[in-house]
Amino acid sequence: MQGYGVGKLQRYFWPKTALLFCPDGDAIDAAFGFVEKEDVDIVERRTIDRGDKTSLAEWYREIVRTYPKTYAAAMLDTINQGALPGCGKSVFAAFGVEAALVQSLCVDDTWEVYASLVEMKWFEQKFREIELDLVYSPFVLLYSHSQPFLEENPGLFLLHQEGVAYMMVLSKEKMWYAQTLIVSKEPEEAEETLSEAEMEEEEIEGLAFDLEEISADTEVEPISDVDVLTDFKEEIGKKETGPVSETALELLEYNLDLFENLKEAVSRFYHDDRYPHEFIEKVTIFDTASLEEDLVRYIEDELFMEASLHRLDPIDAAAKLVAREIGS
Amino acid sequence: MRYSFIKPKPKPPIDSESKILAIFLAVTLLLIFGFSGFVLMKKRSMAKETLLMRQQTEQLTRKSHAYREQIRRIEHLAKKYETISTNNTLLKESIQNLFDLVPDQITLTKAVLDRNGLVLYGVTPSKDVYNYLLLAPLKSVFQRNVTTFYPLKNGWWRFVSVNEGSIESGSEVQE
Repeated sequence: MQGYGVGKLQRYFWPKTALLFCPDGDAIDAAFGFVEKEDVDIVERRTIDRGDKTSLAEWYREIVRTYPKTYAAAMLDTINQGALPGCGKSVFAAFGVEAALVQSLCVDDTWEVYASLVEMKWFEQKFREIELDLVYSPFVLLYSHSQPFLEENPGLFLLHQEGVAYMMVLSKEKMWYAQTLIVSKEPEEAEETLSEAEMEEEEIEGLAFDLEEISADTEVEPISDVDVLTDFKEEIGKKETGPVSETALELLEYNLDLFENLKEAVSRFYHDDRYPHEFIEKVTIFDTASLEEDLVRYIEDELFMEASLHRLDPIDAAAKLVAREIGS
Repeated sequence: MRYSFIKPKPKPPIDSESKILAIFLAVTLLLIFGFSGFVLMKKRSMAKETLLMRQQTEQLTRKSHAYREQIRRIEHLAKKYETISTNNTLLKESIQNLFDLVPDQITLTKAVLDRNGLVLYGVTPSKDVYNYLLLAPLKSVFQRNVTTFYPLKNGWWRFVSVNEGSIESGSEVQE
């Protein structure tokens, strides 16, 4: 009770607050809340257009004027980031990642998360009007959110955002494998939508390395001989009696694309000797967009894995991380 | 445990408004404590002063009592002095009157005047001179007069006149 009282007092007089934002597709999900011991008490949420970063900056300034102890936390949405099992420079060397060109963080002394240094700077430059205090990788978010689901045997965890998915193979003991899956051409399109002036301002000449190159020499083999596309087409044909709408077809295509990517990634995990091998029996999908149950069915039917789909609010997940870091 | 790529920047512990509020509060508290301290010191000093003044009052009361006693004694002495002075004046007048009473023919050899009366010793040419010229006025003054005559060789008379119960002595008794 006493601690609660002090907490309340602190909240009223010297509150620790946080502005969380997660770029998601064409929009930025932002939220403001009071940092408490184990969570952030969200009091306001806003969805801001990705191009309208000034309104986010204005909101941030307004908050800081009222609450000087405001921490700005963001989720890094860049493509060139990843995670590797184990910590240290030797891990980077083993997986062909130039350690000097990445910003890395050893999580729980078991695995390393990294992001391209150039892209980090680009991200900070993009939100230069906001004094960023915490920048989280989606892998960290996924790892943190997967904790209650972890078992002794490795399971596959997927964090899906519009156009991109972050995949991790995790068990209670360690992180086995991680991969970024680019689902459709949406992220590229999003980059295209950036104004020319903005592009000039950012002055990105290109990335120093490409993650795709890491696994380029690994030959991808299909996991089953079944022609997945044919099967899906058959199922659609059975269900639908009328003309198939354009949106439904796009969604189907998207799900299939994601599934193909996932299958490919799983295959890479099984065949790449740099990773320890173990059969994956469970797939847990955390979805921040609007993924359909079809994907679960595809996984169960094609990969013979137990799959489940959970909705995830990235803001809530990031809030927990923020509270864990600055709440005490 | 760190989860973020970057470390959070240090934040000001309190905002400017809270800082002003804290300063104001501190100044207020300082003033309150200062004033309380001052009042406490003043109270202690006043308590000491009160004690001192009470002691002084007691001393002065004691002195006042002593002076009052002294005044009373002096008044008493003054009254006594006055009485004595009056008595002396009266006595002087009485003696003056007494000597005025004595005629030229009679010679007094001794006179004793006290509270009880007057005793006269003297020589008279004759009893009649004494009786007519001295006894008559003495009788008017004293209530009781007893005179004893002793003849002398030359034919004169020595007398002892005892006069008691004067009017004055009577009035003194009344007082």
